[in-house]
Amino acid sequence: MDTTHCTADQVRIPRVGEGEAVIVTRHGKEVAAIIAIEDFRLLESLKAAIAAVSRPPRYQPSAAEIEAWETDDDDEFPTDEEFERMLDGR
Amino acid sequence: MSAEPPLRGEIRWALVPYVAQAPYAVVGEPDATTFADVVRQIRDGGPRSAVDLKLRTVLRPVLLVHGWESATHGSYVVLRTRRLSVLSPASQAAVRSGAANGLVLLDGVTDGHERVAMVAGLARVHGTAIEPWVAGRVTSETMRRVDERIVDRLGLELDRPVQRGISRVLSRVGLA
Repeated sequence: MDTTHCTADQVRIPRVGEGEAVIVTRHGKEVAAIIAIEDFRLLESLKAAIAAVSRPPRYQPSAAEIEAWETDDDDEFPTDEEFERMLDGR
Repeated sequence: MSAEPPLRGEIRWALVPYVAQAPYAVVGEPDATTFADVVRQIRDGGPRSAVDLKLRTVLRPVLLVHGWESATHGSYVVLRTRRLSVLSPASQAAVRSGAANGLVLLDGVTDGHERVAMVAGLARVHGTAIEPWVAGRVTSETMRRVDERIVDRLGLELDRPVQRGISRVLSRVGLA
C-alpha cells in the first residue's frame, strides 16, 4: 500500500482505538477511513498474504520424495497378525 | 471389529488402486495396449462409453485425508504411505527436518514403523476397500502440515479462501 507519513501536528484527525474506524465523507460520499495503526499493520500483512498465495511457487519435488516413489512398492507386507485381523474382519 | 467409519487423520490398511496407464488390459477383450486401442474397443462395442480395465492394486496403510464419505461414490480420499526406513539416511534426515517436499512424517502410528505420507500419492479408495481396524491416528497439527503440503504439491490457488478469511477477520475488528 502506498503510504504517506506525517506528524500529528500536521493534520487534524480524530483519535481511534484498535478495532475502531472513522469513515470520512466528502459531499456525502465515503472517501477514506481512519483506523488505528495496529489495524493498518494487520491490513498490510493480510494484503501481503493474499499476494503470496495468489501465485503459488512452482513445485519442486525433493530428492527424498523421488526416492520414495522409485523405491520398490512391493516390499511391504502386513504382519501375520495383521493378515489374520484383516481376514477375520476383526 | 470397529464399525466406525474412517475419520480424517486415521491410518488404515486399504486396497489402493494404481492409476490406469498404458499398456491397458481390458477385461474380456483382446489385448489393448494404447489409448487408441481402448477407444476403438469402445467405439466397436456398442452404445457404451466405459470398459473394465484390469488394475494393479496394492495393500497399503493409507492416511485418511477427510472423514466424509463421498455421497456419490462411497469413496474416501487417502494418501499412500511408506515406511521411513526404506529411504536412505539422507532422505530420512530431510523428512525429519521437514525439508523433504512431498513427504510428511506421521506421528501416532501404532505398528512400530515410522511412516511418511506421500503427498503426490493422493488416491480415492472405496469404503469397502478400507479395513475397519485403525492402525494409527495422527495429530491435528500433522494433518494441517499434510493439508499445507497438498496445497503446495498441487499448486492450488488459495487467494479466494484467504480473502474470505481476511473478510472475516476485518469483520471481527469492525472494518467490514
